[in-house]
Amino acid sequence: MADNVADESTAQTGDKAKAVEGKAALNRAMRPIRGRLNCGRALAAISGLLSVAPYAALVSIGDVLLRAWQQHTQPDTDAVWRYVFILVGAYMLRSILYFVALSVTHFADCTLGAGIRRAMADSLGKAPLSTFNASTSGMIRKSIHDDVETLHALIAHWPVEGTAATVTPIALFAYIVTLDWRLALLSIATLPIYFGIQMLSMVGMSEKTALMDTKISNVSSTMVEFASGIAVVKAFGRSGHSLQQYERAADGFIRQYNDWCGPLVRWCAVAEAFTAPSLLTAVNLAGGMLLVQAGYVTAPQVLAATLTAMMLPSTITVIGNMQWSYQLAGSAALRIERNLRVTPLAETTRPKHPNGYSVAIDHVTYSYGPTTALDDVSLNVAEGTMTALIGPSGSGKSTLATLIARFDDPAEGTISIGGVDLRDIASEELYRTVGFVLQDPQLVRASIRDNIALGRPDATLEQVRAAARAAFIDDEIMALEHGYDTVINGRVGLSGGQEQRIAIARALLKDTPILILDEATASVDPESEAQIQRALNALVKGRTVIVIAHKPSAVVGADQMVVMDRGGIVACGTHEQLADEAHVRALDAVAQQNRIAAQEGAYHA
Amino acid sequence: MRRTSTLQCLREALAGHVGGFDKAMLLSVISGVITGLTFAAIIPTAQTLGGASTVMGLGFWQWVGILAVLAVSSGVIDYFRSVTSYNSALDFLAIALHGIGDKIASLPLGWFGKGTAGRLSRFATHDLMSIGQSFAHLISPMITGAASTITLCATMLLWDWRIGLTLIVPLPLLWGAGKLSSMMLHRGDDVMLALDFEASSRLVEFATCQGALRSCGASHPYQPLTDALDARTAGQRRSLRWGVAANLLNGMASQLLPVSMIMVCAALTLQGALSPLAGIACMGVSLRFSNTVNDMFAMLLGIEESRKSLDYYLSVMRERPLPEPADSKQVTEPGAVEFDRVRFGYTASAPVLHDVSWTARPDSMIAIVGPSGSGKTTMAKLIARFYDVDAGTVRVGGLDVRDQRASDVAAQLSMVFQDVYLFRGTLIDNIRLGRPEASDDEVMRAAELAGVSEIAQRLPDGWRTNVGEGGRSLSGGERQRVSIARAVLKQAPIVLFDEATSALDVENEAHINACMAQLRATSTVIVIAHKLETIRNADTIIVMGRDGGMVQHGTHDRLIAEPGMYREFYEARCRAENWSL
Repeated sequence: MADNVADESTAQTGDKAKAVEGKAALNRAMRPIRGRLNCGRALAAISGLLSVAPYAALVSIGDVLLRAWQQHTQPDTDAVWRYVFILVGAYMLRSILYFVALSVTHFADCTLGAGIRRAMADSLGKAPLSTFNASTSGMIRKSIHDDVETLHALIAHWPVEGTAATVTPIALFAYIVTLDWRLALLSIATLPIYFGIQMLSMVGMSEKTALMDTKISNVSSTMVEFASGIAVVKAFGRSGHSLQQYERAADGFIRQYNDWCGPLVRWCAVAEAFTAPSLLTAVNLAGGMLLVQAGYVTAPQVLAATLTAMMLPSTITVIGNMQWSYQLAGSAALRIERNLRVTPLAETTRPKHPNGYSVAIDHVTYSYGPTTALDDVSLNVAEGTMTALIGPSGSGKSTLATLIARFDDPAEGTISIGGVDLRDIASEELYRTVGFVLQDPQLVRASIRDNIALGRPDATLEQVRAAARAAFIDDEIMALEHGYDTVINGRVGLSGGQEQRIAIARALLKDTPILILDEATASVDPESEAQIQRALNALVKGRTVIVIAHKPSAVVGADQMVVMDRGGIVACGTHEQLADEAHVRALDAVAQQNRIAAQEGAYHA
Repeated sequence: MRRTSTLQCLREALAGHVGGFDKAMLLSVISGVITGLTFAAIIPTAQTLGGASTVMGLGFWQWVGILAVLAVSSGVIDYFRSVTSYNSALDFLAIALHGIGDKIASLPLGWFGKGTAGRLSRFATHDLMSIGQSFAHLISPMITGAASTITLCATMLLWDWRIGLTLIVPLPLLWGAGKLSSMMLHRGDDVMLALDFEASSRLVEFATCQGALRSCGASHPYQPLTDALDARTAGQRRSLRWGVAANLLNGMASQLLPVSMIMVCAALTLQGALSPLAGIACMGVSLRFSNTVNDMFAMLLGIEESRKSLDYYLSVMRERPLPEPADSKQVTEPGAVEFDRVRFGYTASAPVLHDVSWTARPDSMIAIVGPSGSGKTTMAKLIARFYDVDAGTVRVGGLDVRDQRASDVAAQLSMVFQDVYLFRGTLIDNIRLGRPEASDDEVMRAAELAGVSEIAQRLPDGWRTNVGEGGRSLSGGERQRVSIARAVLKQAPIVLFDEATSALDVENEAHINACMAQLRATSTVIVIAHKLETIRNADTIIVMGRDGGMVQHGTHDRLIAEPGMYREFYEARCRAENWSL
């Protein structure tokens, strides 16, 4: 319990700092369209000021009519119609300006959204490849759908709605003051009570609101757990227990919600009684009558003030939402900014050409945040040879392999190709030199032909097909209704194995002298494993290959086998040399044991 | 296209608890009538203020008295209207949260797909609140607005038919303009939706394929992305133009009412048909009243928004669980599984299984093999009655699954599937789920056999570590070990096992094999098999063809001896196992 309290208080001070930061981020985000937003604000302000005009015209019309009526003469028809047209004109102009202002900010928001998306694409294109992982796509979707949407609500609406909601009541009130200060006081007579009650109801609200947030996320996570675990729960006939847990969370939420919202609703209902049109008219007309009888004001003035007073409360509620919206948009802007901030790998200004295709890893250390992934690793790979990396998951195999394709730069040490540090090779040349086939085939939504020719857009269909043939996928592509023009999307229904062989054909066509293979068969159905294996055999011929495998037997032919564990190399040599090495022996033994265990199981039954 | 009305849907959502809701609606109508009368009463009050001694026999102070009475009654009515609306929103929250929970617990497993959990969680955080808002803050003011409009029109018509008509005639026009503009807005949105989707998926593709794109020199620029973003921006501008046109139309229409009122009032006053102050009051009231009409438009849009959430909620609540008998019959052959001429498809047009028949004797091991998409997993799901078959019968324990209660079918089965879900709680809690009444010793033995002990050693707080929602702190292989430990502990007569991911890491395999041996000794094991050892050791191998029919079935020795799909499959697997680069 004590922990909870401490958490909440730090969360609140954190919130304040975050709100300030968010506001700054919001201002930075809005900078490119500031001019247009100000234009929207100005138009909204004019529109707010114009809201006075119809009432002023009403007073003038009333004066003309009343005078004539009292003097029993014909009213000045021209004057009346003139004021009527002023009234109608001002009323319409006011709406039109407001409408134009909103359009301006909406189009400005469109520009901003387009800019953010472009910036997002730019920063994705520059970020080190090591920063992409399984959560990248979720992050991007969240950012464009939630954060950019939140910004839209603020930028497209608030400059106009907020400005109008501020200027209009001030202008209206100022107008009543010019009529008569006593009428002005009358027009806001009930507002202090309204605000007083509202303020009273807000006491202690912010803590409760913070608590609400946790309750909501609590219900939602119990709901997720309940829904995603339901298969397990049902399978074990335990849905009752899980349901109880969920219902407890739901009840807790509703109780909390009622604690939070119930009093608020009651107080608001009481407060709103003091801004009801009937009360406002009764108070203003009664008070106004006394002022008329005392000779301070005319009846049309009372009527105009009364009608104006009825307009005041409707603008108040708008401003209330503003603070909250600003805070939301601020944190959205902050998140967008953070996502856009990437440090691209430095590109050399004086590129050198590698002399040959050997790979040298020299005392390399690398870490992901606080976790060390590679610790002082050194390894040489001779040109045209195959090196296999083996070891348990998390031992640093993939990190080491991808660093050779410069997914990132090592914190210490160097990696070089043909004697040249990767950092001194132009990135185009590096990508021409090092190719990779990873677990995910990374096919784009384009025709199969374009996917295979991604690295060589000028390749002829014949060249593309030759690569596909070498990857043992040509017949299967030709069997598709549209052959090589088939566009790869979720609906074509290519199997994982087929996709992986298309990726291999792409690598074949690209024909890089150095190749990195990271568990290319790991995520495909066992049925197509054999076909991928054949394709891989074709691919590795005549190249410098670094391959990651989970079975030593799959890479017995490797020129060198590297056993890794906890970010370091524990042994290095051919399979024969390493046959006695503890790790290889253990792995071989486990594989062997598997077969025996399975067979024993069979006999046992 | 227009379905049942929103009001009806809201009543349905309250599942019988409509008393409060109806009361709130009634109060809203009364409140609207009072507001309408207030607007109407301003005019005679203004007349008496401006010199007329009485209107309808009442003097100024009497009219103010009427306004005061209206003020007090509107204060009281509005208070109860707010509170009852809020209470019915709260009722809805409670009914919806509990209703969804009960519904989820009763729906067949087949209903739960990939995105279901995410969608439900969005429901809890977003949709629920949106519908609640609609109950508390939109529906009731909408009704109030409508009632006050009708009241005002009626009183005006009684007072002066010309003014009444001026108020009433534009209303259908307004309504038509509102409809037309909402159609234009939808049109703009439709243009946008596809383009927006295309742009986001290109952006996601650009990120997830960044490695390939960059290494192929295709990332600067990636033309499909640039095109999609440009098309989206152009589309948004186009859609904005539709929006501008729609709002313009709407705005013009809503100005029609006050402008025509003002003109008519001015003309009537000049003719002497209206007293000067009555004319001015009329003009002022129509200015204020146009706000009410505009607010109603905005609320209508808000209600339309929350309608999507409401429809989702109702669609879940309208789902029906698979029918089951009140009592299961006694199983006749514990541990037996039988497919009897089963035909099944997820949709009517795409059958997955054709006329499949096979039998698993108690305590035997059945291996199902076949290419992806041949219906292997579907068969396992039919055994657990995720769905009902289209034709034929699935029998578990000798009895049609449809003649048993869902919990009784579940009691006979253990499932070890690919997607393993772990609950918040310790590893022990998660294993114990298999058989809550098991002793600590039994739980530990199962944990040991499945290799969960090794996971516990790795975790920061050992056995006491909370493995978290969905078990994110554990690798796929580790999660599967927990799931196997559950199955070992449960000792169900039938085990359904999917080997797909088990081949991933070597250490995992040892544990899985040990557990398999144990399970085989006590249960019927039906396994979607990938490993040669498993296949070879099965009592019966079922070979599924690509079209979802059973191609061959028999023992390994028999099937390998004859040419056919199995032999090809087996030889391909052998080559894959012995492959080296």
